[in-house]
Amino acid sequence: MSHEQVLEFAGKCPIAMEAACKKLGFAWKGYDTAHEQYVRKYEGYAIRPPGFYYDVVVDMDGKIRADEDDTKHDVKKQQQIKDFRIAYYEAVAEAKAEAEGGTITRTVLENGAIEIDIEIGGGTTELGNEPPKFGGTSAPTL
Amino acid sequence: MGYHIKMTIAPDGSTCETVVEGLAGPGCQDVTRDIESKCGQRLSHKHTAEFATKNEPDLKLDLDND
Repeated sequence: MSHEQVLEFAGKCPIAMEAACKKLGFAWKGYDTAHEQYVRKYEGYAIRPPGFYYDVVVDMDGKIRADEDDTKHDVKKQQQIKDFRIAYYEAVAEAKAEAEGGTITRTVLENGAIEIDIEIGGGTTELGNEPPKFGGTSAPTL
Repeated sequence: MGYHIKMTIAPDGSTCETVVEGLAGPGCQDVTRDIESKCGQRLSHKHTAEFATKNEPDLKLDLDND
């Protein structure tokens, strides 16, 4: 008998999930209304990290549903799930920075948490720091 | 003047808390709505000192306006 394990997560963007899989070398299986996992079926997005017996499904509530045979006692597989979740959030941050023209700074804090700082539009509109305006008395230099 | 979006991912990757700093005005919700929808976490918005002193001079400089 195999049991499911529900792991905390809140991911809902398939593009970021696919990006995380690509970064980590996990198989990306996309959306299905009935991804099979042992005898269970889930609607959501499935991934398959290397070495897993079953697909791991991110359900429509954003929870991760894995099989206990994969994740309950295997530290390496537990780490793969952690890596996926972190890579997902990093992919969301990277997409935001790219869309807004921002820059990313990544810091690992003392407690092991990861802080991602996305700076958008910094330092360009202060007085005396504006870009030159053309169309005045002198022509722009090319 | 720009703004920062700070995402703090738990060591096990289970949660991601997002805070926006330095963003003033009603448009801040629009800017962060997409991250909120992808990460499932409620955002807090800390407005800049400049914003606070212009609009609410008696309030603290850091305002949590969730």
